Amino acid sequence: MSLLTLTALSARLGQRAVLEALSLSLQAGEVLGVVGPNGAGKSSLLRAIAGLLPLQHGEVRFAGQALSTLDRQARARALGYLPQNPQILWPLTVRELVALGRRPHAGLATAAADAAAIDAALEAFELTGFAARPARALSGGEQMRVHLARLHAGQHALLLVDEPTAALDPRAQLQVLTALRGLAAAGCGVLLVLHDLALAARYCDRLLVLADGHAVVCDSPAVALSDARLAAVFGVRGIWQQTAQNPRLLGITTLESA
Amino acid sequence: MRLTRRHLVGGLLIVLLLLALTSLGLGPVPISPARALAGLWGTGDREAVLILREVRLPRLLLALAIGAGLGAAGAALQALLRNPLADPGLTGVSATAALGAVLVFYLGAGSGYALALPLGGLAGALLGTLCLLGLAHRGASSFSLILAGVALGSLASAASSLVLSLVDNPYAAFEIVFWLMGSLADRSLTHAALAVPFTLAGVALLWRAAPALDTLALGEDIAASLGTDLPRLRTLVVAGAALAVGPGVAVAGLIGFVGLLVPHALRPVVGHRPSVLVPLSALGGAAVTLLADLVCRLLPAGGEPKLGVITALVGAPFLLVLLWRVRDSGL
Repeated sequence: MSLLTLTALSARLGQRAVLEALSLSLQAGEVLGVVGPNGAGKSSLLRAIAGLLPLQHGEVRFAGQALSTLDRQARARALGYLPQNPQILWPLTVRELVALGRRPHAGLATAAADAAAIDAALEAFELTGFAARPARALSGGEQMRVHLARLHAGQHALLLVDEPTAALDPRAQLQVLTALRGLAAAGCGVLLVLHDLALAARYCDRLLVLADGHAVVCDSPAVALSDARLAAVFGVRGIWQQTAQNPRLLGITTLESA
Repeated sequence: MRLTRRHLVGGLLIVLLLLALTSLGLGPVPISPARALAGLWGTGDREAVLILREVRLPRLLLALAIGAGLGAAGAALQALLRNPLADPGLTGVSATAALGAVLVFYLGAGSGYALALPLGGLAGALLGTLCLLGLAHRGASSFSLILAGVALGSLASAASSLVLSLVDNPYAAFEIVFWLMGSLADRSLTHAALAVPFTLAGVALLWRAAPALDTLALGEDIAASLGTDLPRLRTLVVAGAALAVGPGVAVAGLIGFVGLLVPHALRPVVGHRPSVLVPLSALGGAAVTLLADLVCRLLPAGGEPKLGVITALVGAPFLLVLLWRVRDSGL
């Protein structure tokens, strides 16, 4: 059974249709990348699944069960959500921030289980030494690790992560994506919005290409980002490296450059 | 950190107890602690029983409840709005309570029946609360709720001024203005019975809302994804703040700065988490208000200075010093 199944999802923001008849399924352990130009509906898709954007039509099923039938807390345990440019609005220590990930387990987990999950998350993201530091005093890359540790502590089956690499230096981008692959290897399903096509092709099992709220294609990176599609959807040309197994997207350039 | 917090709770409780005993023991008529306790219990001499039960106990209860309401409401609203300037007065309910009292004054009902004034204030506070709840029920955002509170407050203040300008007897107008300055002098147990239950109910609502407020540290979207029911949380906090503050204004007038100041004073010690800060601000607000009331009673002046004036006179400079010293005051 799929971890997440979307059937004919449609949603509007005011007058504008941001998602139209979008269907999709995601397996546990899979990293599914969502790519597309600005305004294609990538963030709206994550917000719709997270229940932050009301659906006009369609259904979201989690492990076979309609998400709308789950209560608020059960839904929060199932799905972890990290929006683009997450804010920290008042000073919290790293540990206090990661501990917020345990809120969906309030009243269900013992204090010892909470502490163990928080400790494990801090350790997984190499934050144990930072635990007592104010989160806002950390660098952008370190803060992103804290946010991911918060998701880890929540022990969600499905993670919705919007552009975690935006505003990070190249090395931190790779660390964040490696960490998300690690969470998938541990059994999470990850739905990941990325702008960088080369990173998306390298770290995702499959890519969903969105344009104007429609799913253009959902397939392996090499198929999803074919020359014709890159030209039609993004208006760019891919620079590929031919390897023994799969072609690898190294970067992009303008259509005009030869 | 945790040890400090526990010490602070213990310390605040001890300070509250000492202040309460002092408040019961001090006054124009000197009464020894033993006599005071006996008087409170009803077993002492008649003079002590009368003074303790009719004069000092209502004053103590009102100071504790009103202070706790102001402290908790300030901390909860600052968290809900993610704005360090949020003050319980922002809900507008203080102003509608004041308007209710002013109207009663103007209509002359206050002269016939001593409780007409606080009852008018209470009606104003509850009407203001209902207005805000109606808006919250329609799904207003936190910011529109507070803008509505500001509008409601301005409207009520303007209406109060209008009523005051219509009073032909300047002495009566002066009396209303004086009453609005905030004081706990000459309040009876009936006054306390009118305000304290509402105030404590408000504090209880805010206390309940506090753990969910923690999740707002990461913004409303993440808070919602962590299972926080935002419309319900807004309703809880706005209703809690209005109940915790409005009835206090109805019986004691306007007491400023406690709600703004206490959370700011506590944050450097206990951190910023509302789940910790709201309950501690209730204790801190009670202590500060009781202390300010003691100062009012002990100042050797011709007439007793107004409590609301003392809290602002001491509170505002204290806040300035705090902001000066704590650069990363957060928020």
